Amino acid sequence: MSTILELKNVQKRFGATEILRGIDLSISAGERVALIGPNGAGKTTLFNLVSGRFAPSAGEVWLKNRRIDGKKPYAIARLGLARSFQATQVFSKLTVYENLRCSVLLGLGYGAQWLTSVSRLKEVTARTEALMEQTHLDKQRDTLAQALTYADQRALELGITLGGGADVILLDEPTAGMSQTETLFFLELIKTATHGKTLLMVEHDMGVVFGLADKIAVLVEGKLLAFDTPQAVRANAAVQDAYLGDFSVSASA
Amino acid sequence: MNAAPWIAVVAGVVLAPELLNSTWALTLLSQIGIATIACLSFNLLLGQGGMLSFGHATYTGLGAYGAIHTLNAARAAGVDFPVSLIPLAGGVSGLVAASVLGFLSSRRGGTALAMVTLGLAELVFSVALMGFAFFGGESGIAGNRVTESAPWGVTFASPVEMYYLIAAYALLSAVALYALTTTPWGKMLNAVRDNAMRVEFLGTNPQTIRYRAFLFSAFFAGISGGLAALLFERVTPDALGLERSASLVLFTYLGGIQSFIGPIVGAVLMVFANVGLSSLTPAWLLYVGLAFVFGVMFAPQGLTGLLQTAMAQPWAFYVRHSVILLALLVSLGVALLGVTALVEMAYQLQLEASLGPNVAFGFFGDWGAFQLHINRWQDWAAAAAVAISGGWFFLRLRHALIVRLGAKA
Amino acid sequence: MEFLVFSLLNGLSYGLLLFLLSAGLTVILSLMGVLNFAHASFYMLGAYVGYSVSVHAGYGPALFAAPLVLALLGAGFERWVLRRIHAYGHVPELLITFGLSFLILELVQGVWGRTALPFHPPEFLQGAAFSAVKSAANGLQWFWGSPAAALCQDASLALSCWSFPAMRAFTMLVSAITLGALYLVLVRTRLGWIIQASRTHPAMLESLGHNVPRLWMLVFAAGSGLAGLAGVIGGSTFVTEPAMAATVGSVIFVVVVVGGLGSLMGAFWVSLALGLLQTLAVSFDHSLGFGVSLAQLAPVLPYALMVLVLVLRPQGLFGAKDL
Repeated sequence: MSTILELKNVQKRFGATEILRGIDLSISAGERVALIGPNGAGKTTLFNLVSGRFAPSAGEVWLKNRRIDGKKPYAIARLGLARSFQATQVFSKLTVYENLRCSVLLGLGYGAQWLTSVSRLKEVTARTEALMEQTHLDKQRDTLAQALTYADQRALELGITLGGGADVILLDEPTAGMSQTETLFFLELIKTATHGKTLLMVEHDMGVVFGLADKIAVLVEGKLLAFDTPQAVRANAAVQDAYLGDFSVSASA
Repeated sequence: MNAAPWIAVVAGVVLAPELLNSTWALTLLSQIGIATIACLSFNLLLGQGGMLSFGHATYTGLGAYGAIHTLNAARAAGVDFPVSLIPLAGGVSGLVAASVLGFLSSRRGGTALAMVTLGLAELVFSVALMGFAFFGGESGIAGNRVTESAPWGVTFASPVEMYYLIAAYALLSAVALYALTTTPWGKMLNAVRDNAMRVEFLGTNPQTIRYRAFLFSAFFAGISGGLAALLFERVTPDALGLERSASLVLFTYLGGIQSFIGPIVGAVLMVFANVGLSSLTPAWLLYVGLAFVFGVMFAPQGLTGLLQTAMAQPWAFYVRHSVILLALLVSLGVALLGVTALVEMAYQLQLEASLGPNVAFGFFGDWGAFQLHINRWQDWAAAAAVAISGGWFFLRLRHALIVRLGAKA
Repeated sequence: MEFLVFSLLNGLSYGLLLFLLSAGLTVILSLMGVLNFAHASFYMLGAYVGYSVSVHAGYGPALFAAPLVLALLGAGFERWVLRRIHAYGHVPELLITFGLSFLILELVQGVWGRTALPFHPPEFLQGAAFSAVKSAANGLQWFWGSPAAALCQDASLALSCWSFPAMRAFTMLVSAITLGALYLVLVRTRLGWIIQASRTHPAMLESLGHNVPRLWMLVFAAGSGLAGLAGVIGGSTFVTEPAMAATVGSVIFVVVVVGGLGSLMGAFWVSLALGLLQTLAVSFDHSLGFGVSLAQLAPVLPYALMVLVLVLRPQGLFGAKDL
């Protein structure tokens, strides 16, 4: 399996505060990796670095054998990397359909096109409809994004992330704030929607982590304590030390 | 898409000169046509793109100058350039201006964009006042639109011919601008308006999208300016001025920025305010300002939005809440009466020397006419009381209605 | 040389006045995220109110009344209008302050008329603070106040006469005192620290028990009061007319953009720079070719500077990278 996403000694400092202290991470194509760790460990910062929100203070980030650290977010997105946000970032005054269509348009490369009407683009329509069904939002087709329930908004957030057809997906706490049933539904949704793609996911719910991940990366205070299969990580003494009592695996996992 | 309203509009536009047989009406309609293109192009930025530009008159003005210079240059060189294509020269001028100014304006959004557009507008305006030949100083540049060669007998000397030219451009521009909103780029513009950061992470630079909006907007703004140059046959630096830009912002917003036809309503309001209201009272700009402020506070959807909301309610709604709605209207009317009285009397204070101490009020001629004496404090007190009580009742009734509607929902 | 000294002093006094005005705007912007388009209108209203008060009660009372009136107006506007609009988003906020500026302009014209008002500084501030006379006989001599009239009118006695208006000196004094007090409040007092904290952590502050909305009202009132004070001074030093809001408004926007949206240090340096630049440009009236003189170019300079900064460094000289 080839390495699709690689971080080489990545460091990030904000002024005098060190957030990431030298991360080495190598993810293979098609792998599903869960990134876990206590709050403030630097997980979202890592996401921001990889997706291009800001550049690392030191180190390199490689995507599909191309160096992407320092590149703009849209350049990285065009290379096939998509990310979701912890705080839902949707287009509040557009309908569900229009929201999803935006990411489909960009994924298919129509972004700046001004010569045809959208309704003429059959492929766009087809993909958007499929996306709506996949995220179970087809009943809410014409609802404004700002009028959706929290869980539906998270589903929309996920849909927008996936709509562009990226093959490396970064999900930042996708099930945060959800009930058990909602989380289960989301788990299935993520599984089917990211089938065959590379997934890096920040999660706190261990049920989701163990139900989904091929590998777990443990980030504590800006350093990777472990990057291994779920069984190995569970048995890892250092991880147990840092995470005493946090391994609450739900029965359904 | 329902074709009936479009056909009705086109029919109305074509038949208007037959139905309204006066030059004054034609001039009014011509001005409305020009304003429509200007406001629609402005709303591409504000309503569609969330970009509050305080310098839109820069593009209409530069378009006007480009058009009139093209007209004069063609005449001087003896080239038979069709007058009907002059507005396109204006459009190209606007486009060229936006290629530079629009680039500078689109680097960031929100407040920064508002300030940049304001600053650039000031820059262009102050350069225009410096006295270069291009801008013609205070008296501006004059031109003559009447052609000697008359293709199909059209010389553009008569108001009717000018009206049809403007109407044609207005219809075509409206269709084009509407079509733009249905394209992928148009949809991405809406997305940038709602969440530029998300768009950036989806794969395109919001700046490019904004820049393109400025280009399109300026092109149509330039056409509007070019038509104005032809209509008035003179362009002065005022065309680039801040008042003109402010006017576009005010009236487009009053018309309604969230629908496509809102700006058209705004354009009609703009022309009627400039032509009609201004002759009724010296305080007309103050009233426009007040309407705008209250619009932002209570009716952010503009007049079009209010009408759409009103028309969307079933008859049952009006029947059920008839009393409170009527009271609402009455209190609003009373408040307006009081405020108008106060404003008119205040303005009369300034004009007393020339117009005397009385402010005459009359409704539809002499029906219910009365006079207010600015030197009588009782009149001031009465007006203030009427205004305050009307306003207080209006606010309380509005609150009660909102509570009622909330309780039902 | 003395030409340079007096031009620099004039530029400095204008620059300090600009900072007095743009400081209020900057603090409101960085604290509440609101760009108050009506700030320059408050300046104008301060001048007009100051004029009316000075006509009836004298200049001294005007200096206190105008800022007070404007502070109350600002507080009222924030409490009943701006706060409601805040929830709608950035564009409506900009629009409402823009609408307010429009309203104030019309109101001022309606109530006070469209022509410039004779708002003069009080008697004791009308002369010169100090002057310099260069004569062939005595070289360069410095005087307190104005030189003897006869001395300056006779070309054989004096080669050149320079004077620094007392009103300008007064402007510098008031600006310096006010800004010094502002700095002390922000940096040394508890209230100032609370204000600084509410810039970045309003929610935290509220959960600690501080009334953040009331704080914002206070800050807005203070900013408006500052504008009113600047208005009384500016209106009596320069001119009191309806166009004054637009004129100075454009300049302080350039100050804020070039200095960096929300940066007080940036506003300070750019205000001084612009004040000097504009004054010197008018003084050095050289021709630049193309039938254009430096004095003609003076009004364009601030905007040209703004465009330059926007091209080279969009966040302004002292601003934060992403805003």
